[in-house]
Amino acid sequence: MPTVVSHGLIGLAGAYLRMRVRSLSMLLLNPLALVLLASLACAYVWVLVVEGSNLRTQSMPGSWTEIAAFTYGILLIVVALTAQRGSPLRLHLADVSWALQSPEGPRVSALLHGAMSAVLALIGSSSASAIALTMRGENPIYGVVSGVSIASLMLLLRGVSLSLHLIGLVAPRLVRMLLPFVLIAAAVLILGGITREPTPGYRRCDGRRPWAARSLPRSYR
Amino acid sequence: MPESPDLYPGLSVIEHIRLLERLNMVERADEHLHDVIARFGLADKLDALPHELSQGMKRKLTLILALRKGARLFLFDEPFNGLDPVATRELRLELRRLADEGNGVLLSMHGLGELQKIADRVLCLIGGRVVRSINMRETSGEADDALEDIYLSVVGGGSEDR
Repeated sequence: MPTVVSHGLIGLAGAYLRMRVRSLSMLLLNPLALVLLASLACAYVWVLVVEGSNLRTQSMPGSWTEIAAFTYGILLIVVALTAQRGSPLRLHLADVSWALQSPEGPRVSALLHGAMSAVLALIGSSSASAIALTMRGENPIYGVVSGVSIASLMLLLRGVSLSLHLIGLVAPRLVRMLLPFVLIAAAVLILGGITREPTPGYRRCDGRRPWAARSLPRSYR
Repeated sequence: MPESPDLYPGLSVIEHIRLLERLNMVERADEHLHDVIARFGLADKLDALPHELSQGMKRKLTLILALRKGARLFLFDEPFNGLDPVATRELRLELRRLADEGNGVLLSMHGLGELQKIADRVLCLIGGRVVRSINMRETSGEADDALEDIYLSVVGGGSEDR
């Protein structure tokens, strides 16, 4: 990695870390925020430990896969449509003014907001799942499965968001104007494909794929 | 520099400067930085967050960041909007100093009074087109509202009984 990129990346990552610590410390001084945080943490542990155990005895219905795919599709469309206008997925204005204008700014920003956030999601989610699995007396190594899935989702969302920023910078005005309509048309087609009845002569695929089942712990199969 | 300066909400004044230095590989001596900070009157605000700074201080910080980055051309959008008279004067003097040091300074603004005090040359734009170029040396010594009169004669409006 060139020195300028690593230098800039360390600086920007450090700046974001300081900002995150500051906002968290302010949050922890707010009693209402503390109560909400504790409730959310309890709910999270309950879902992971109690509901996770319940799911073990049930077979996952195929419609769950469809719901997940539908939600995922909607999520991507929302990301695509909000990435450039007043949303948390938009790059910070200061990033646009200062980070992106530096010599290796675009690379530094892509590495920080794309790759590093995915790595953080991988570590965070893997650890949380591993703790939940340990509490249920199972092998914590399978926590990596949820870590990878959350990191992939994060990477995809960030990828869509950053790509749209790039399109906004380099694409002609006409392309930028047409892009939302193209995205909506693509979304309608994709969602239509997910929810439509199977073509005559074809059987609807079971949501639980054999290759996916092999990657799960034996107790889930 | 936009009308509302783009700063990171959770970073202090000195952290903004250090970040810019890292991003741009600035290796100038700290003495130079301290001189600039003192000149802009932010020496006692180094640990302040953007929401703790006044509008004028935020603009000064943005100027320091641009200077630290090594910029030679400065573009300002309505730099005096929302500033009190003291901050207006301080910023005006800094902008004048930047220009006198050989930097390019371009201001986009509607306040003709401030413009008359600071500009060397004024371009009147209507619909994005330059319709008049005024050398301010030619109007020096004239009335305080000379620029306003010229501007109104160009755009053709605002007759006022005297």
